[in-house]
Parts: sequence; structure tokens; C-alpha cells
Amino acid sequence: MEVATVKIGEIVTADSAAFSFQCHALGQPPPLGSLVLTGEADALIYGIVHSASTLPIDRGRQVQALGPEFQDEAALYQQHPELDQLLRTEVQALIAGYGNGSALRYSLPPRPARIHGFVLLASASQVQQFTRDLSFVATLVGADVPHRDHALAACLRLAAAAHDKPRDFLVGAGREAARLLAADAPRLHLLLRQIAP
Amino acid sequence: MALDLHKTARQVSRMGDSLAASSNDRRLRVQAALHLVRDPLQGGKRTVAKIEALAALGAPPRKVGWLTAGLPFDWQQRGLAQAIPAPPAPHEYIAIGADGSQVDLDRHGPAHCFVINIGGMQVRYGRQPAATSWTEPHLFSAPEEMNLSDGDGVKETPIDASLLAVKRQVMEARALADRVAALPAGLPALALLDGTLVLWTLSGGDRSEGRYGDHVRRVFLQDGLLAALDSLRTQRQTPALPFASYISNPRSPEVVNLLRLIACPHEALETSGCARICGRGGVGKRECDAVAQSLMDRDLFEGLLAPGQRSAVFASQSNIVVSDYGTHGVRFCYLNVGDEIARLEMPAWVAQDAASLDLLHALVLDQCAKGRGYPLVLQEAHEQAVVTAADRRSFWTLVEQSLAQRGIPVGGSEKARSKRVRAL
Repeated sequence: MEVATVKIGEIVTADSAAFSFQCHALGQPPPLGSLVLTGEADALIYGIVHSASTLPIDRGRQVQALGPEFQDEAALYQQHPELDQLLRTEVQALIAGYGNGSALRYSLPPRPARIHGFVLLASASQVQQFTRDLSFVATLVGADVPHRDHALAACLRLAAAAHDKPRDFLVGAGREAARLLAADAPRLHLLLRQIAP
Repeated sequence: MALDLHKTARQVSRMGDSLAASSNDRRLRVQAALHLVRDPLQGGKRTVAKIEALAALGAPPRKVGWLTAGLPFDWQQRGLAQAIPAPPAPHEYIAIGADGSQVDLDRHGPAHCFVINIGGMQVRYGRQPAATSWTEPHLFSAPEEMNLSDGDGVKETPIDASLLAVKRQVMEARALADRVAALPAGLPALALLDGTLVLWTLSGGDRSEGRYGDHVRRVFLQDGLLAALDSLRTQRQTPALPFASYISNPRSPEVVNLLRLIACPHEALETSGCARICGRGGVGKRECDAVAQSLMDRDLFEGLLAPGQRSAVFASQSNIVVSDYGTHGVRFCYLNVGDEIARLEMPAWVAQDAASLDLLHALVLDQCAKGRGYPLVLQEAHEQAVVTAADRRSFWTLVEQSLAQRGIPVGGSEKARSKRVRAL
């Protein structure tokens, strides 16, 4: 199986159910709903990206508009190369499972992710393997975070592309969502509309 | 209770009244000062030679009671009220700023030590934009770091708060020089420090009765600041490195004081000096107050400089500069950066190199535009260097923990403990 090798960031906060990481590339977080990995090969933690933001490294400082004199954004960044040093992009991920590749568990790992641990973007085959079992859908549906359904829909669309039969995958995922959200028809309706193939 | 704001507010209000009442007199004094700086010869009443003789009275050993600016070298041709527009800034350049902050000595703290934190920012503009920042903490605690020895082991001067501030200034200059030394050749480079280049603290009237001994001056001045300036000078020759120390909201009155000398109506000034003429029992009435009282140089240059323009370059005549700075003698000019009048202090080798001075002028303005009124690299150097109150608390906790782990009894005063606990 092709495994993830590209480091995209470093963990800055971690608890039992979630972690956040600072991206190595400013303003280039992985897309919403991406599957990301952290930890050693025999104890990988899987996270789903549900939020990202770019903000000053020093929380006491405020970003201010740099003035209307710039013709385009490229010129602005060209004239203010220091911005790379002063801003950071931080990404929040929910833990959706853990395992060592062959044995996956769709529950919380015994320990939180390690601070300063590297975060990698899952490869297509890792995404396919992890999302073959739809237990992770329940994690996002039940998560206590804003935009959880948008993150879930994005995750499902990205995952579908990694499967041989994307449509079948989405239909299966839709069924799982319908089962979990049987008591909340409006919410289910919105979610299904977002993932409709 | 801490500060009683109700009582303070009444005092603030009285202060406002008194400031408003004096503002009209002040406006008149500014007008008189502007008039004189534009026409120091007073329509022919004074000669060039007379003004040069008067200005010389401000040089040490000073005959007058004021620290006065030395005349600009080109004043005879261009006058004192020069307002020089900035040449265009090159598109491609590197700017470096260094700044420092500290954890002070704490008499009530758990250990006798201090930290100086030096931070900086380097930005490259143009085709290959890039930025790097750095911060480097230095902890001082060894006996030889806490006391300056005169070499013979006779005199020892303990580092106090004033010397700590001087040490920090020296380290900022050293860090800047080291960074400049690592720059690629070819590109124009601007190097900036924050604050004054004049180490006032080390001067103390008569050399032999100076507050600090020669060994202190040697460590901080000859082997410290001046060595760093030597290094900055040797980095680039044609033109010299545009280097300056930037002072926002400057409060110096040296040019205004020069006007005092020019305005003085007492013929005896050159022989008798200020104190005997206008001091107690003297015949004078401090007539020079009419162009100077409670004015600062920036009040004058607000009236002279349009945004972007700089003043003529004056010379610092403070004792320590004249006696010890040698070829690094401090020169200064004022610059209208848009929102305020800033003061730039530079060594003579920058001021005397027209190309370097032009570049300094243009690049400082460009930095102020990028930093919204204050040089961007200095703003960011400060952000790198700053030690917050929370950092200070964390530092002292770290010290306590480290001592406790080694079984060393943690010092610290009962006063410090009582402030921390605040028990009722």
C-alpha cells in the first residue's frame, strides 16, 4: 500500500479526541475533510480536518489591512515578506480512529497525539482503506464542533474519489448517515444534498 | 486600593487647564524660534563668524548651561532650516533591525541574575523577497558577569540597572553588526537600531570624577559599542553602510538650545558664560527663553519639514561623544515620516558620505511606510525581543525550580513573598 510521506505540519495541541497542527506552508492547509495521520507506523492516529484558520503567531496582535496602494495580492506579499514570519495557519482535526495499517480501530486511541508530532496527508490508498468501514461517519455526526456536517460532506466527497466505485461509496455513506440522523430529517436532508453524486 | 482614579482625574483635569493656558505663549515661542532658525544672521545683525563663535561655546568644556547641537558642516551655504526631500528608494534592498529587552536584576528574586534578550528581523525586498527573524536570550549570573573588574583586581563595579541597560544597547549593536557581516554583497542594505547612540550613562561630568570608572567605559564603550560600530563601518565602503539609530517621539532640545546661543543678547556670553549673566544676581533675564523655553527640536522641525523631508545634519556635542567616540562621533538629523518627526542618530562616517545619507533617508522612509509610521524591521525586532510580564514570571519560576531540584535553598525576600501571597 502506498503510504503518506509528505509532512504538512506539526501538532501544537492534542487531547484524547482531537488535535490541531500548524501547517508548514502558510495559508495552505489540507482541504476541509482531509484524512491526516500522525504518530509512529505501528501506532497511527487518524484525524479528519474540520476547521482551519490563519492568524498572527502572537495572539496579542491584530492583523490590519495594509492599504489600498497595492494593485494585486501578489504585490502586497512581495512588499511584505515578513508576513510569513508573523502568521501561521492552524488546522483542527477530530480523531476518527487509530491503528497500525492492518488493524484499524474506529475509536479513540489510548493516548493523545504527541505534541510536535509530524502530521502527514493520507495517501489515496490509505484513505480508501480507512473509509472502507463507515464507522467514522458517526464520529463526525456526533462531534461537538461547528460545521461538522460540512466537514463530513467534504470528507465523503474526497474519500469517494479514492474508491473504485465512488457512487457506490457515496450511496453507502448516505445510508449510514440516514441511519444515524433518522431523528433529524432537516439535518440529514442538508447533508445528503451536499454529497449527492 | 491601588491608584485612586477619582483623585487622579481631578489632578489630570488641572494639568489640562494649565497646558491649555500655556499653549498660546508656546505658539509664540515656536514662531520666534522658526523665524530665527530660518534667518540666524537676523537680517545682518549677526555675522557668520559670530555665530560660529557662539556655537563653539556649546562644545565641551561648555561655557553655557545648555547641551547644544553643533552647526551642520554646510550651514553657511544652506542655512539651518534645510528641508531636504528624499531621493527615490531602490526597489531592491535588505533591511535589518535589532532590538533588546531584559529580565532585570531583582533584589527580591530567588537568584542574583539577569537576562538580556536580543531579537531582530531581516527583510529582503525586490525580486527575491524573503524574511528571517531571530531571538537570542543571554543569561548572566557568573560573578565576573555581575561585577566589572578594572583588570588590576582593585576596583569592582557591580552591574546595576543603568549599566544593564547600557549592556543591552551594546549587545543590540553587536548583534546588528554580526548580522550585517553575514549579508550578501551587492544589494543596498539598511541597518537600524532603536534609541540613542549616545551612552549618556557612562558620562559623568569630569572624567576623573565620572560616575563609572574608566574600566566600565572600556568594557561598554571602547570594547563594546565602538567596536560594534567599527565592525559596521568596515562592512561596506562605497557607499558606507546606511546605519542609524531611530528615535520615535524625540525629546531632545539641542537645536533649540543652539538657537538660545544665537538669540542671546549678552555680549559677555563668550567670556562670562550663562550662569554669571542670567543666574542668581546676574544682569540677564534669560532672554533666550523667548525662542526656547520648554520647546523641543521636534516642535521646530514640525514647522520646517514636509512629509518625507529631512533636516540638515547636526553634531552631538555631549561630553562622552566628544571625549570618547573618536571617528564615530554622533551626528543627527530629523525626518518627517508622515505622522511624526523622528530623529536619526548616525556615526560621522555615515553623515559624511552623501550617497550613504541619501540611501538612509530614502530607506528609512520606505520602512516607515511599510510599518505604518515606524520602521517595519524595528517594529518586528521589538516583537521578537520583547519579554512580557508573563515571560518574566515563567523565568523566575524556572529559576526557582532549577535551584530546588539541586537542593539549593531558594533565596528571595520576604517582601517578594508577601507581594506574591497577598494574604489578609
